[in-house]
Amino acid sequence: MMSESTAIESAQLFERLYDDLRRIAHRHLGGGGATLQTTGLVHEAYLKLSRTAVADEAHLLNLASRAMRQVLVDLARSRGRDKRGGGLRLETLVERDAPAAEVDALDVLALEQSLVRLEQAEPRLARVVELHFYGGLSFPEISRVLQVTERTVFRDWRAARAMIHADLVRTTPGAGA
Amino acid sequence: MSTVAERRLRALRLMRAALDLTGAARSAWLDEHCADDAELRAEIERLLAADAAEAGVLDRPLGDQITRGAVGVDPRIGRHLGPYVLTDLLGRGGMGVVYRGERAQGGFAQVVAIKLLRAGAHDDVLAAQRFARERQILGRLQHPHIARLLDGGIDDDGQPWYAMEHVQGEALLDWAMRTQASLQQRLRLLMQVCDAVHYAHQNLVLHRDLKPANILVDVAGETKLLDFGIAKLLDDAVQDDVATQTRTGQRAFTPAYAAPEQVAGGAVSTATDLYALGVILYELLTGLRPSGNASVLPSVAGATTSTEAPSRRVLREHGDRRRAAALRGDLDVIALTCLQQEPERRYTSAAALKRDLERHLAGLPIEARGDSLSYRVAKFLRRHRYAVAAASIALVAVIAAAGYSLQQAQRAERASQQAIAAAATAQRERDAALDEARRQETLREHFVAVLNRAAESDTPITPGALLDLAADPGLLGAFGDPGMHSALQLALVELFAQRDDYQRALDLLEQLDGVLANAPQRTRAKAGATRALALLRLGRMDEAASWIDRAAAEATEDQRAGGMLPADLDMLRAQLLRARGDLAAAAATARAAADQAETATDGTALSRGHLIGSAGTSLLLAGDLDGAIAMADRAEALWKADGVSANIASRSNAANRANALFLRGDLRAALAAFEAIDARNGTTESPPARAARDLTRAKLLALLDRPAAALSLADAAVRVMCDSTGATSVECLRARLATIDTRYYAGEPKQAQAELARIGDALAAQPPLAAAVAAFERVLRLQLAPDEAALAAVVEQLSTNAKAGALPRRNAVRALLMLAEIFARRSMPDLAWKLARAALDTAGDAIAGEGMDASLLALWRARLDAAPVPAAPLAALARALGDTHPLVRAHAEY
Repeated sequence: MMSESTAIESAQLFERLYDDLRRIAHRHLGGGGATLQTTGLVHEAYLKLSRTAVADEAHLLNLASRAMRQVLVDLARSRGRDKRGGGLRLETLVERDAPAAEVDALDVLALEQSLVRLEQAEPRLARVVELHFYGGLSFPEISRVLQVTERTVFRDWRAARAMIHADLVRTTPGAGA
Repeated sequence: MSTVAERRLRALRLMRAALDLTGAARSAWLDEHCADDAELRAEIERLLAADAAEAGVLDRPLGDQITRGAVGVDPRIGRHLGPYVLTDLLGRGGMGVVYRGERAQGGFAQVVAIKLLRAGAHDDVLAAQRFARERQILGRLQHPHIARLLDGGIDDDGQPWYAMEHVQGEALLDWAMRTQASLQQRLRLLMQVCDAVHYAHQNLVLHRDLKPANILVDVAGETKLLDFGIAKLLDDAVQDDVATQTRTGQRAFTPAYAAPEQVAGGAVSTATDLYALGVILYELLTGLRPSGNASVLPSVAGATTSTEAPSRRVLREHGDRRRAAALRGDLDVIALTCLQQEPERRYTSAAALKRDLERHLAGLPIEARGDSLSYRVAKFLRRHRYAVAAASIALVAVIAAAGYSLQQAQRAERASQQAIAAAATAQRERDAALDEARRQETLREHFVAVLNRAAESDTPITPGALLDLAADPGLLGAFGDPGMHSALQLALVELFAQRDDYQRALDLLEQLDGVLANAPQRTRAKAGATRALALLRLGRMDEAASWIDRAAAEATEDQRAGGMLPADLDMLRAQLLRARGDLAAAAATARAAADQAETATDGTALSRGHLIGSAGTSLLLAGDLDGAIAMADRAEALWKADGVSANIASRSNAANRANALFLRGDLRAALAAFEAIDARNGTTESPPARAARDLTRAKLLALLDRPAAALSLADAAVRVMCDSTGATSVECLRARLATIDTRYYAGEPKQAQAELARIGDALAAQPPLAAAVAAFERVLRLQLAPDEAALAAVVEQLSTNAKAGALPRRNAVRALLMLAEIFARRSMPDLAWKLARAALDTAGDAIAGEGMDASLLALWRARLDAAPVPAAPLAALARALGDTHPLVRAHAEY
C-alpha cells in the first residue's frame, strides 16, 4: 500500500516519535506531574514533529499512537534495569492490599498480548483501539484518520472492546470464571 | 473442523450482527446461525457478555489508570537497608515489593534482590524473634535451584526485609512460551524444581506459595525458586495482628495454586506444595490451569470434584492433536496424581514426582499407575520392541538355514530363552532395589511429614509425642506398611543424635531394645554405634566402650567392607581415648578412622568429610598441628571434588584449621583463615561458636600488634558468649580468661590483673582451670613487679604446665617467649635472657618449623650463643608476623 520511500520515512518518523514520547513520559513522570495524560503526550509529540514538514496528519497520528503504545509496553517490560518476570503493574489510584486478587491493576503486557491477537485477526479493530486508548483520539478524529464513518468507528470499537475484555477475562488470574 | 482461532474470528464477526438484536430476537438469531455448533455459540455469548459488562480495562482513559508512583521513580530508591542500598524497583507482588540492591558497606561488591514484606505486627519482640529464627532456617537452604536467602532484618520503621540472591531470569511459563520450549525441556525444568522442593522439605521448610511467578529461569536455562517459606512468616505476622484476623482472605497464598486443604484453612504439609507442583505441571503441559481452579475464592472449601485430564483439555481447548497424543497416558496420570483432592493420595514427595517424570522420559513404567500386567508388558515391549523382534527373527533364520538340524535349532531356542530368563531376573532384581529405595524414600517422607505436623501444631518434640504422631493412622495409612513403624523409630533416634539431643536418643534406644533384638544385623550394628555415641557424649565412658565393641562385633561383612561403620567406630574409640587422656593413641586411632573414611564406599562425601574433619580435631588436641592442618585440607578437598557446597560442619573444619595455624605460630595465615571463614556467610551460626572463634581471633590480633582491634573484639565476644551460655557457665569463664590473655598481650597487664581478681572466686570453683589461672597470676605479677622471686615462680609454674601435654607445652613456651620479648623491650636483658633460656629448655626439640614460636626460639638461641642473627628464622618470623611487626624489627636490629 505504501511506497518504498514512504515506508522508510514512516520508520524514521516512528523512531523519532518513540524517542520523543519516551523522554516526555519520563519528564512527566519523574517530575511533579501527578497523572499521565496520554492525550497530552501524543499531542505534544505531534506538535513538535508537525513543525517539520510532514505530509499527512492522519499518518502522523497513527504513528504517534503506535509509538505511545510501544513506549508503555517497553516501560512495563524493562522496569528498572532487570526483568523479574511478570511485568509491571500499573496500579489504580486506590491501592488494595489484598494478596490474592489484584483485579483493579491494569496489566499492560496482558493487554498488549490481547491486542496483538486482535491485530492478527482484525487489523482495523486493533487500529481503533490503538488510536482511541493509546492515542487518546476521539471517535470523530479517528473517523478522519481512518477515512470511515463515525458509526463504523463506534461499531468497531464496540466489537474490539468486547473481544479484548473477553480475552482478558479468560487469561487473567482470579478475574472471575 | 476449524481451529480455535478460526472459531473465535467467526464468533466475532457473527457477534457484530447480533449486537443490534435483543432478547428473543437475539436468541432466535443465535439458534439459526449456530445450529450445531455449541462451541461457537458459547464463544459468541462470551463476547456478548463482555460487551454488556461495564467496568473493563478499556473503558477508562489510559491516563487515569496510571499513577506516578507506579511508573515513575519509586520513593524508596536510594534508601539504605542494613548494609545495602536500594537501586531499582524490580516488581510488585502479593507479598510485597522487590528492589534491586547493592552492597554499600563491607568493602566488596554484591548485587542482591531485596524484598520488603507487607506490613504486619513488628513492634512485638516475639515477632522479631520469630522472624530472626525463620530467617536462620531459610538461610540454611543451599541448593543450586533455590535462590539463596542472604540477609535480612527489620528497619527502624518496623519494616521487615530480606536480601536474596539476585536472579536474572524470566518466570517459568513466560520463558516456556517465548522459547517455544519442547515438552522435554519443560519437564526437565520441572524436575529441577522438584529437586529443590524435595531438598527444602528434607530441611523441614515448606514453600507454601509455589507458582510459576516464583520460578525463574536464568540466562543459563536453569531454574531458581524464590520465596521459600516466606508465606509462613506472613501468616505468622497476620496471626499476631488481631485487627487483620477479622478480615477474611488475608492468608498468604495464591488461590489458583492452592491445595484444597490450604484454601479451607487447614493444615499445610509437604503435600500442599506437591499440589502446587501439580498445577504448575498442568500449566506447563497445556498452557492452561486445571479447570475449576480459576475462581476459587477463599471462602469456598475445596470446590472441584474432578479435574480434566491434560490430554483431553488440550484437545478440547486448542484442538492440538499432536500435543494431546504426547500427553495421553503417563503424563495425564502424573498430573492428576498431584492434583488429588486428598493429600494422602498425591505423590508422597517431590522426589517421587521427579522419579516418575524421569521414568516417563526414559520410557519406563511410572509408579503412580497401578501394577497392571498389561501396562508393564506394553512398556517393556515398547522399550524392547527391536530386541524382541530381533530375537524371533534370529530364531527363524536359524531354523531356515541349511544344515541345521531340529535339535540344534531347539538348543539355540533354549539358549535364547535362558537369556530372556536372565534378563527377567535382572529386571526383578532391579525392581527389588527400586522397591528398597522407594521404601527408604517413603520412610524419609513420612518422617518429614511427622515433623512438619509437630511443628505446625506446636507439639513438643518428645519421643513419645513424635511416636504418637508417627503412629497416627491418618499418616501411617497413607504409607501402608506397619513394618515402617519401627524403622521410623530408629530413624528418629538418628535425628535426635544429629541434633545433639543425646539423652532423648538414648531414651528412645532403650525403649527399642525389644524391637532391635529382632531387627536385621546391620540395623543392630548401626543402632549400637549410635548408642555408643550418645553414651560418650553424656560422659558414660565405660558403657560407651562396651557398646562400641558390641557394634563392631555385629557389623556385617559388607558394612565392614563398605567402610563407614568401622570408621565411625574408630572415631568413637579415638574420642574415648581422648577423654581418658591418652592423646597420642587417640590421634593414631583418628588417623586410621580418617583413612578408612576416605575410601569408604557406603558414605556420602558429606559424612566422609565430616569424619576426616573430626580426625583433624583429635590431631589438633594431641598437638600434631601439621597433621591437623593436613586433615582439614583433606576434608576440604574431598568436599570440593564432590561438589559439596560450604556447610556448617565445613565451617568448623575451617575453624580447626585456623586454630592449628594459630597454635603453630603462622599468625598471619591464621588471621587470613579466620577472616575467610567470616566472609563465607555470616548469618547462620550459633552465637557461642562464633564467639569462640572471635576470642581466638582477638588473641591473634593482639599478637599481631593490633591491640585496639583485639580488645574491642574480645569484649564483644565475651559478652555474646556469656549472654548465650550464662554468666556462671564454664564457657563464660573460659571466655573471660581468654580476654584476660588478650588484654595481657595487648599491653594492658594492670587491667588484666584486675579482671583476673574479679573473677577469682568463680575460677576457684573450676579445678580444671586452676593450672591456667596460676600461670596467669604469676605471669602478670612478674610483668608488674619484676624480681627474681617472681621470675622463679613463673618458670616453675609454666614448666609444670608444660608437662601436661604437647599443646600445654606450646602454650607455656609461647608465654615464656612473650615475656622475654617484653623485658627485652623494657631494656631488662637479664630477665629477658633467663626467660628465653627457660623457653628453650621447655621446648626442647618439640617445637620446630617456620611459625613464630619456632623462629623466636632459633633467634634467641643465636643471641644466647652470641652468634650473628640467623637469616632463615628471621625471614620465617617476618612471614609469620609481617615485615613491619615490632618483634621482627627488634630482632633484625639486634
